[in-house]
Amino acid sequence: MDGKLELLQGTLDLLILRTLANEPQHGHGIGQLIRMRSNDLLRVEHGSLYPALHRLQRNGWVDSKWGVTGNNQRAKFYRLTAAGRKRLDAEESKWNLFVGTMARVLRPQE
Amino acid sequence: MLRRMRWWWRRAQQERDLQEELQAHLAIEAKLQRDAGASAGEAERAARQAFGNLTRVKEEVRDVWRIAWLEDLCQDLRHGARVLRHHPGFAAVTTLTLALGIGAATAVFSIVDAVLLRPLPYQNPERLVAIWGRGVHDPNIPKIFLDYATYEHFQHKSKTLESISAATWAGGMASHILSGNGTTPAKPVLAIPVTSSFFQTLGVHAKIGRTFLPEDEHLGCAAVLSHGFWNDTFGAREDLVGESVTLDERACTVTGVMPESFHFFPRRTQAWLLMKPQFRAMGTGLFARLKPGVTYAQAQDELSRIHRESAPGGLWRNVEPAVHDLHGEFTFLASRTLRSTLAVTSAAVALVLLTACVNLASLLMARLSGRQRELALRAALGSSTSRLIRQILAETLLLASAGAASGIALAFGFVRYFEWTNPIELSTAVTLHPRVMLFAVAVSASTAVLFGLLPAIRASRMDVIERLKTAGRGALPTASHTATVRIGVAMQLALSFILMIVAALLLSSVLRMGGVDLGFNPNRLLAASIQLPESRYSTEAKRAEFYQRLEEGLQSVHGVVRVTLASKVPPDSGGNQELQILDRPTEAGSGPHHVGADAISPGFFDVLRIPLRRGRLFDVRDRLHSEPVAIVNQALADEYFAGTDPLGKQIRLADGASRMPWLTIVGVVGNTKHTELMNEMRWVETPMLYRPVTQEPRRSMEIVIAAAAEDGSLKQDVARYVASIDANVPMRELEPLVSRISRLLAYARFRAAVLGVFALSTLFLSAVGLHGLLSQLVASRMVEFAVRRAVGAQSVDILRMVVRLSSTPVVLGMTAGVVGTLISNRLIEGFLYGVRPAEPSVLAGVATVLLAAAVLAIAVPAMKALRIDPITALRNE
Repeated sequence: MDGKLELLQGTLDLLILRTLANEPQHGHGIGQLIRMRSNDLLRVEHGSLYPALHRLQRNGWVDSKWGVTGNNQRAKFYRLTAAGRKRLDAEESKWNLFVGTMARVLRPQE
Repeated sequence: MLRRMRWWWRRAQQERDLQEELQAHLAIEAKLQRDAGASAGEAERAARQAFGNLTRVKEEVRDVWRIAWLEDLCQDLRHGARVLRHHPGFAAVTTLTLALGIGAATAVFSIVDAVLLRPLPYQNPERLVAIWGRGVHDPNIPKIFLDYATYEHFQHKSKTLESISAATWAGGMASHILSGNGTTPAKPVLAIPVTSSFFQTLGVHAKIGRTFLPEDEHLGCAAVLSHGFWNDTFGAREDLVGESVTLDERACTVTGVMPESFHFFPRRTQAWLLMKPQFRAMGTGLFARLKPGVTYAQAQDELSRIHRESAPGGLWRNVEPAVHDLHGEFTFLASRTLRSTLAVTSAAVALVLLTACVNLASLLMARLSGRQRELALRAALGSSTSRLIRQILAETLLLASAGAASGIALAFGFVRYFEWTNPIELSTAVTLHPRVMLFAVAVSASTAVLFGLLPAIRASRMDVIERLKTAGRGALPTASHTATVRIGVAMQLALSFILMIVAALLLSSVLRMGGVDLGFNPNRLLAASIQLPESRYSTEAKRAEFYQRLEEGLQSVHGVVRVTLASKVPPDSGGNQELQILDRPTEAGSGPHHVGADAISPGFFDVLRIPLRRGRLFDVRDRLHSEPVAIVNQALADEYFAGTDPLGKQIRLADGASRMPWLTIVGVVGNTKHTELMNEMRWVETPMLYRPVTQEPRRSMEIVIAAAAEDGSLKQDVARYVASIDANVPMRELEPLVSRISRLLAYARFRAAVLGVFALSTLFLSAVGLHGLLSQLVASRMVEFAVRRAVGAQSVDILRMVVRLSSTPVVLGMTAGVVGTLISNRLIEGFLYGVRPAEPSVLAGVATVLLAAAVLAIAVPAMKALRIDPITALRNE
């Protein structure tokens, strides 16, 4: 199995917001972080990542600024806004509820 | 315009930014590769590979931008709709204003398009001409048919014409009968005899089969059918071509069927027949195509010369050919005054549209000034200027679309009504052409931009603080702005005044003209035309016998009080023949051509209640081979026998074709009034001579029936009786004479109705404008009113102030209106009947209506002014 899972739009948004919760990051970095944190199971297509970033920005959940990376290279950094943080919390609790329910369905005795 | 450029620039900026971002990504990946040991080139390639398809990613991001933009637009539209719902009055008035302006303009433009702009459906129609005859000496002969010999001369000798053809509808040449076949009765058919070159000259081809070829002369009878005729009567049979149909009891070979888009004059032509010698006796119309590069003047000169050299005999010597542009002639054939009417109507509608736009501007400006506070607050709370502008644009677009849609619906309804009443015979159908709809949309779009957007942009540039300071009081209308609006309202009032006068005068003319005593009594009279087929009624004796049987038999049909026959029934009357008197020899063709001749049965004058002045009416004495007699009307007696007794004198018509014997005058009757051919507002009495139908039994006659009462089965009973004598004689449906008279005035009535609608629309628009102006003035003077109230002013005083505020535009408007009326009345003199252009009663009436409308318009602002509570008003300051 290759490990590449098809990600739903909403899930991708959530992942990105989660990734940005700690610190601002640029597109390349976001892709790397998601891959790393999922043990290489999730490899985000750049054809999905960048549209998602722009959409999130449009909705006001992230905003962007040009900056310099650790390696002294120019990149566009995305950062979570206050509204974005609120959205993240809301979506995460929904997700946890969903997962919890699923888990309960799969393991009824728990 | 500026805003659009900004959007483009921003988009370009976005693209550049995206490109940079993706390049930066690649650079980062490349660096990672290099750090892992790859060469520069390998690193680049690896980075690109790892990234994937750059173009596709860009496309996906662009999609996101697009969707976002659309969502914003939808949101703006929804927001705009909500705002408008909260101000239904404003929305309704604005939409109606726009709808009236656009609807009127679109409708009129459709007609102008159909009549003047749309090219005729022939090849290179601008080179086609019609050649009529024109009187050399006698200016009373405006346009008549030329003779067939002239056509042949032109055909052989002309060098300026590429091709020429003849088509005639003179003297009943176009009236034919399609025989019945047992199940269907015989039907009258309008078939125009044309020469074989006719379709070639026009440059058109048949849809099925072919048009005429010179060889078709050998066929007994050849016909080309119109699409409508082929479809309705023959059920669109594909195999009809090559078959024959029975016209006038003769087999006519159908060579082809024309396409649906083809038409010539008259529009309801059902077929074209190949012209045979018997059709050449009466005059014919000539239609030709000029050679490329030939001017009208050149053709005119050549044709006049050829005609002169051919040494025409008889009355043709006093006639010369005149070349006219075909398109113009179609318009003329529809109505002599059509062009000028269209010009006047277009001018009127342009003014209505202008009025609507002026109103719209004021309405939108007023609205904008009322929202200053709201806009300022929203700007302070963080809405960007462009966002605010976009929202205002959305609102304005909604209004503009609503206005355009209702306008088009109005125009559609108007065009339908026009086609239904069919006041004039146009050669093309009037439809809402796409070009016309585009016009409507363009007008509304530009209105929206001009009057909604630009002021908004201008307003948005104002400083926020300043806006908040002056909000509520309407800082936008400056003194100069108010002055402009005042003048605008005055102009609108003037325009309504003029239009109302014109409409009132036109309406009055129609009513008066309809009320004139026409010299006969049409009440309870019905008429229908019948036609005897040539083959079985070839002799006068046979026809006379038929008519006698017909009249006697019809008398006993239930519901028939009296019956009579006539070749023409008033109000259809008049003629263009020349009179000859036995003892007064004159040169043929030199006298006035204004005498008409009809064949009637003895009871005619009684049935129509035309009085007998001298002598006697026709009776049983006057039979086919007895002494030829005639009855003349008073006009003929006065013109030709003034001072002497016409009885016993001998007269006849100078037209060689009918070969009339000398007739002895036995009686003089009263005149009947009729109109000249082309929808003019004039009743004329022309000299008429009447012959007994026994002595001149024409092929087509009209049955006139005095009916007992409104009897439903009368029409069928009469038709059945006629068919019982001879099933092959077609009869048109019995029609009340009153309807025929009414139809004569259809065009004038239509004109009055249209201008009436324009006048009322403009009045409405003016009232709206006045109302808006006054609301604004009162609002901006709230403080003043409040203070006056506080120091003791009475309601009457406040009212007086309000009236004074509104008096300027109203007085100005009415004055300008009166002046304008003097000018406009000069223009409509030709359309009036029985009323003077400056009728005082009409002026007074219209002035009253205008004042009443003005009072209504200022009622609401006046109320508001009266109800001002000084304390609250001053507190808001």
